[in-house]
Amino acid sequence: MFESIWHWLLDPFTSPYAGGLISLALNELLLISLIGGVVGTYIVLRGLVFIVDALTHAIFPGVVIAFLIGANFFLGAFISGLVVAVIIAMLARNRRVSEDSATGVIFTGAFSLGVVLLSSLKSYGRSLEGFLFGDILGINSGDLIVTGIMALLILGLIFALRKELLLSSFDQGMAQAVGLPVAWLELLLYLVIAATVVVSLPAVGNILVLSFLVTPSATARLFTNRFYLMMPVAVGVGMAASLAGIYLDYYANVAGSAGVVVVSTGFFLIGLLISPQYGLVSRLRYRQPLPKV
Amino acid sequence: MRLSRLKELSSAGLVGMALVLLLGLAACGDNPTASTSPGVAAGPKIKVMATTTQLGDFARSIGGERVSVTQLLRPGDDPHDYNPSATDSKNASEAKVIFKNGVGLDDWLDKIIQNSGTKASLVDISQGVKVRAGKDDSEKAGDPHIWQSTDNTKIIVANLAKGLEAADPDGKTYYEAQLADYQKKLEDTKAQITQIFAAVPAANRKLVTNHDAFGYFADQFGVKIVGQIIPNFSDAAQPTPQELDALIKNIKENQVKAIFTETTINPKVAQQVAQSAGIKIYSNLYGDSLGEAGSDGDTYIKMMLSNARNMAAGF
Repeated sequence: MFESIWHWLLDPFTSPYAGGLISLALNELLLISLIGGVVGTYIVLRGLVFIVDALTHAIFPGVVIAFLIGANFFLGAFISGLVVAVIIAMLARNRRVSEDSATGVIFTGAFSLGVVLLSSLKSYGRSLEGFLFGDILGINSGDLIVTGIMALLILGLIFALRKELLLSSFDQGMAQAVGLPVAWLELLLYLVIAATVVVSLPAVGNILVLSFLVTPSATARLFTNRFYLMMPVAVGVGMAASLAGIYLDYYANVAGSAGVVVVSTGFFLIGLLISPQYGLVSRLRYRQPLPKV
Repeated sequence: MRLSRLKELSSAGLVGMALVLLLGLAACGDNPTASTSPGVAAGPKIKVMATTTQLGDFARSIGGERVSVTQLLRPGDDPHDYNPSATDSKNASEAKVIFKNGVGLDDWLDKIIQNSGTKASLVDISQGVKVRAGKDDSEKAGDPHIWQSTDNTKIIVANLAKGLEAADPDGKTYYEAQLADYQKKLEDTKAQITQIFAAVPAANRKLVTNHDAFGYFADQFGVKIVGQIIPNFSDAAQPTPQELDALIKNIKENQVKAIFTETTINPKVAQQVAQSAGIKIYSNLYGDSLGEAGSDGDTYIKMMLSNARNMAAGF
């Protein structure tokens, strides 16, 4: 009995045929979950989800341009990510244009530009799908190394600037009073988010990357209010969803990283039910009014 | 006050600059949408529209100097999924006869015909071709890659010649001479391919491709199809882990030596499969589309010979 469970768990990764590919896919997803959980915590607590959604879509035209002129994929994505991060950071500081409408404009505008560019190819069916959903089983060891290096850089940067980022993220007045370059820190945060999105694209694609940044952190948020506890919980949720998603793909014979997203969304819904503070179950049990958060 | 004004201006400027830049690039990417056949001759030519790159080539070969061919797909385009443009409607309305591949491949043409209100006669060139069964629901009408056999192509070009004669009765003798000439070339091509494969033991002719476009070719020249990377077109065009597992197993058990990917499809998953199976990968077959002008697959006959040579070299 125990042994058969063990086999069931190991089979996808030890298959002499596609086992290597599936292991690479899992490792890539675990790395993405690691970065996504940490960066996502800032995104969720700062309420930047919509902006990040915009960012992920706005990177699209850069990727397409790189594809059309045969340039390096990462280069195209990074340059457009950089441009868009700067634009959004500046718009976010502009009081005339409300943040969400500015974001909405950039988001849909840039994404449509990407589609227009792609359709200059006239027939873009499969390449478009590659951009939108990624090629999780096409991940090679080179991709994995790039993701690993980016993870080190991103997490190292966040660790080195953790105090400054925390203060400027949640108490801008105070941060300005002690002389922190708030605008630059904000830009840095957007750049880190952009880098996370770009490095995740080959595996999970343009549409689903948001889920890897947001869903685990939003789930963690249901269970803790403490900033530095939320990060490891989010990383754990993301990694568990990645593993479970691979099993779902393998045993239910479905394709792509959408399986992971389905699982992590399931985790979030379960969290909504059983969260000790905000969950439906505990609210019904103690008949508390809605907590004001 | 002034400062915030300045900020506003600078951010607006940046956005503007970025947009101008992106739009500029967009303009660069915009190519003419349809190619017409080169060469000018006296007298009005019959306007002919063809959907795929192969059909365009057939129409130019049979129609010769009497026709001017508008071909909808460009080399490298994917015929399974095409987005018609306004120019296509305009061209359709001016055409005297329109050729489609049929077998469900270019059903998107129906929309163009409807929108343009064209009076052109529509010829489905697959009439009389024995269609193989499609592999799944995405190919309900059967396997659409009928041009991958020279025997089929003889029927296809005969249909095409009939269509041209109906649209341009004065050219009947011309078209029939052109047809006889081209059918002879097809016979030569078939003989050449047979000879190319004669050097390869039948047991070694095992084909793994990126997508299943070579069924007719395999039937005609005794090649065994072991599998393909992309299982079907109805989903996100990704294989599942199980499908890849089965494919790699198949490759190893059949001792397949190489994976051939088509020039039009992103080969990332194929590369990974080749690597884990420890075999070579060649990205040199023309499946759905002819090659760019100047390539070794820029006409149908060159494409067939190039495919045969590349397969034989990899087997």
